[in-house]
Amino acid sequence: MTGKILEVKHLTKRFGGLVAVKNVSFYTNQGEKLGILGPNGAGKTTLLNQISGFLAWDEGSVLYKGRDIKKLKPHERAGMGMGRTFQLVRPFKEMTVKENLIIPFLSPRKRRLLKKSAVSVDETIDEILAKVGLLGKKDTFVDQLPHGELKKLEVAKVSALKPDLVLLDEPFGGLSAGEIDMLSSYINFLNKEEKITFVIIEHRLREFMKIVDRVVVLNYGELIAEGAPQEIIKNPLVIEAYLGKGGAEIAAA
Amino acid sequence: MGEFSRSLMPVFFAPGTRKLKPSKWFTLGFMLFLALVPIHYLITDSTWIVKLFISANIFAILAMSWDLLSGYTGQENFGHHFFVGVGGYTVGLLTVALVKGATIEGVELPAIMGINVPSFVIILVGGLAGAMFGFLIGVLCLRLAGPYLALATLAMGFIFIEFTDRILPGLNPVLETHSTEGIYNLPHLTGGNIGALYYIVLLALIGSLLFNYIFTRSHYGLLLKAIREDETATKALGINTTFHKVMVFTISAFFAGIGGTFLAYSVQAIAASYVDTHLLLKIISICILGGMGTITGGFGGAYFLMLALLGMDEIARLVADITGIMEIRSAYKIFEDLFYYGVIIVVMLFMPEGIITSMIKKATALYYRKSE
Repeated sequence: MTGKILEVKHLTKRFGGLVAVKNVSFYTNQGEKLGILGPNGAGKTTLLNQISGFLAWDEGSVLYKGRDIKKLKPHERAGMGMGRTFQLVRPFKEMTVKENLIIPFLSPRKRRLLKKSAVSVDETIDEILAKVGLLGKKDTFVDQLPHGELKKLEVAKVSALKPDLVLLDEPFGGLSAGEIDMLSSYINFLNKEEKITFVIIEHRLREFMKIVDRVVVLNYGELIAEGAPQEIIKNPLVIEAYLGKGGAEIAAA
Repeated sequence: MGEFSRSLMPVFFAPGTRKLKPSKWFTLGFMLFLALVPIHYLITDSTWIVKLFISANIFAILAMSWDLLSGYTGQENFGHHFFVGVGGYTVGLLTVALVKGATIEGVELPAIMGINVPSFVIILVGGLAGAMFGFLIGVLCLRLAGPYLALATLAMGFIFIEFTDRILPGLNPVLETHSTEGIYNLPHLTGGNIGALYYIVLLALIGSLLFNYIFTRSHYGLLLKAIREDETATKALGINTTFHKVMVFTISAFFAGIGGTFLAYSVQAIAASYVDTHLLLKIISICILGGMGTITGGFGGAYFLMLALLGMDEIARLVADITGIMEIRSAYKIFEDLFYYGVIIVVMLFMPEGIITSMIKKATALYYRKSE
């Protein structure tokens, strides 16, 4: 399938008097790495929660693989191949790394896929762990992993679902430069080899701009810009969102 | 060998071998000991030890069933006595309604159906009735978690107690005439043969231990653990957590119902006061004593509590004998509950994993250190 895997149309979400997401429309092409950029409180996580089914929206629609998914529950969306991670890592604490990775294999989607393949669960898990560089820590309890490895584990867990689209919520938060490089190359690998489309949320510009193909920018719940990373950095509206009014002149000076 | 049995190999056998793990040998040994308990009755002709173990076996079944739902899956159910009561009252009501020639307090019951239903059918129906209520309450409480779930299930337990205590006797003339508070003098399950009753309960215990243990140690158990640890993250991995929660509610209530039928059969009576919140607290205490979320903790905790209560009783008697103050014994009876809740607080403070769980961990560590 080519074309648009995800289409968000005129999405609006209100929390009481606050409009967290205001008439936002964008799309993601198959095989693309789309970045959603915006300062803190711009409505990025709200948007992601709505797409993945953890939050209902007031107006608008979301089409995934051409289908309106408003009525689908989170696990059903995941079952259609839409994976996600969370801003704060959410590993299953009282389990080992391997046991954490078994969970996605117990979903109906993965069982269906496994039936068709000749490889066993154990082998597949080892393969994933080897790629993400956690094979040596297979039997370690996750509460003993450093933050960077937990972030990697979260991406590995989602990738085990064999998703078509993965929504990453601030995957680089709290990581060192070296850890960001490793995670970025894993994301690039999944994008190229496993043909996974990514929607990545970040508020930090630098590392993020290196891996995404296209960026949409949110500010105060509204879409203010869209384009290639190099253009976005120069966009006065974006600079203003980050630096405040008059920021464009300061940046240019 | 299928995927399922392959995944269970490391649960029972030492890594890479066909040798049973030491903890499994211990369980086997304990099972053998349980199987030999009726010898005491054969030798001494006194039944109290056998009766004590019957009760402990039933509590082991109940504790494991609570642990599956509340310890392993993290769904705090404070209405477990409801399901136990459903099982117990199934025995009472079905006996009154169906069993021909059954008597209550010497008066033959006017059997409504006039058919002789085998007891094992009644036990099964008791389990299924429990499961049905488990399913209903599971569906009702879908959106609740933590303290809200605990309170909602506790409230349902109170409704059940009120219903059986005040409303139920008024509904059936037979019940009203012969017993206002409960249904007493039920027929003995094995025609007065206490050894046979013991082995039937033991069989049910082994069945429920095997089921709960294998169920939780399989991949499915990991899924339950994941729901306990982080339900949102589990959903995001494509798992219908709601479905699994209701399923575990049902299974847990099934075993509680089975335990309830044995509870009624073992004392040949069922009344609201048998299945009130004291029963719930005892079940929860057993799990806390043994260790929650392990199944084995609930299993071992039942015998541990039995021993602890027995020991405290003996100490009170000894102290009374030595000092010559007989009032100590009667005073102890009054404070027994206080002692026992005190022990639980101490265990929670100093051994939060539970006594059985910490013992297993220490023993296993010791064994592997020795063999290295």
